[in-house]
Amino acid sequence: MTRTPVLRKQYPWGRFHELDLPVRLDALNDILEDIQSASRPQRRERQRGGARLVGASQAMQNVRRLADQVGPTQATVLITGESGTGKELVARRIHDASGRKGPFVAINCGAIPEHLLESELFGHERGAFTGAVASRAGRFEQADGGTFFLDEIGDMPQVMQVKLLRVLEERAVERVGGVRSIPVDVRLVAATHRDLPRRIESGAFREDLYYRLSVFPIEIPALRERPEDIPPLVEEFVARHCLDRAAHLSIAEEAMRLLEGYAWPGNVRELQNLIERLFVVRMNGIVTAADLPWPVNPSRRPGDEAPEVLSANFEPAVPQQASLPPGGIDLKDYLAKTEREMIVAALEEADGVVQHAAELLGIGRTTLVEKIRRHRIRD
Amino acid sequence: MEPLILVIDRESESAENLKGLIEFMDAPLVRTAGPDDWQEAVGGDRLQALFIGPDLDDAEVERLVAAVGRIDPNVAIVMVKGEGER
Repeated sequence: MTRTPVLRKQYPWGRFHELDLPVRLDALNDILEDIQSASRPQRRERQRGGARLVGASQAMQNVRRLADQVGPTQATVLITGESGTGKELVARRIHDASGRKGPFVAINCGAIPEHLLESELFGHERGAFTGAVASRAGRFEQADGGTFFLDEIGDMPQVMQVKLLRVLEERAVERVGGVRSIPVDVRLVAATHRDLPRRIESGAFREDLYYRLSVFPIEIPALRERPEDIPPLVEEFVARHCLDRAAHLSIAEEAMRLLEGYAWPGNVRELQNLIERLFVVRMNGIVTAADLPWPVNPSRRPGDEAPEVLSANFEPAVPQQASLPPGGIDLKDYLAKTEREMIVAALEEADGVVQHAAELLGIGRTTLVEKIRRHRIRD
Repeated sequence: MEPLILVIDRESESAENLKGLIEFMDAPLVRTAGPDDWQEAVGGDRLQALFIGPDLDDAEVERLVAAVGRIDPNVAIVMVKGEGER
């Protein structure tokens, strides 16, 4: 019998994972991503002040105005908007406008395993369960005097929704295994990309909690609904990367028009990722329409890209006009060789950083890692 | 400060192999140690995760998990299971 269930019972606070030998890279990757996502709130806290709410559209002016208006009040705020629209930035702006002296503490309810969420939010007392060798304050206590940002609230398990509701009503938390109520002075800001009224209808989200949270709702419109925000956002990202990388990049007018015309289903985050990728392939230069990948540049099609421009949608080039050699080819072998060459090129371009190379190839990191292993590229 | 991932195993070769794989996945700071000298290997760094090799006995594992919990209960513990172990 494996030791992990025994350890989980002895140390219920522990974050346990299992990894089988021989190691499968996809399993290792999943574990490392879990570990990183669990510690992301702390990283976010350190990154404070790194970004601004950019946008000249009426819609974004309204978002900024609402955030500044509600900031100094005690009202609980619910921020809604598609993924990648910048909900955490709005939450930070509310905190900055609040004048509260305590910290801005963020947590992603969807990234923390259900069995850890209670201890993460409310903390636990020493001896609360076998192995709880030290008392630990939860995020609510950490945010005392400041703002607590609950991201992806729509993904919070129902049992935790009940406990959160109680905290909102009583303004006090009780640690796991604790007997006393600890008063907390916390301003709560929640966010979700989900349609909460629909989740209420389906029974996945509590109606009473929804009304508690949505005292002051702020909706961030999708980027496709405010294309006039694209140029200032591009300028912001370019300026930030130029500063970080001591490089220079400018966007030609025709390229900017294409960026403005694209629907950006991944919103601001997708735009930011593309600018970062352009820095990789066009550091110290001018980005023209020819540098933009399909579908941002609709005149392109997968397969007709210039070889030096590796885009998210680039597909290994099987020449469009190629003729079949007499006697045919081994297509599988041909495609495998092409795939290997592209991976090697992307790794070189990305200075060996797998994540960047995966972005250049438009595939996930896990997929790329598997391909590197299969092609024995790093042996 | 980059968070530290520590690989603990009795066999330094297998620990180094696993360390190589974790580094291959872009983890910035990975070290190896034995079950008795791991605290020196942590030094002043912030421990993010502990990979525990299959060769350690139950008492050693329990001692490690308890000690790590005293440092920071948020540290992830990854139990590496040997071939054939269920």
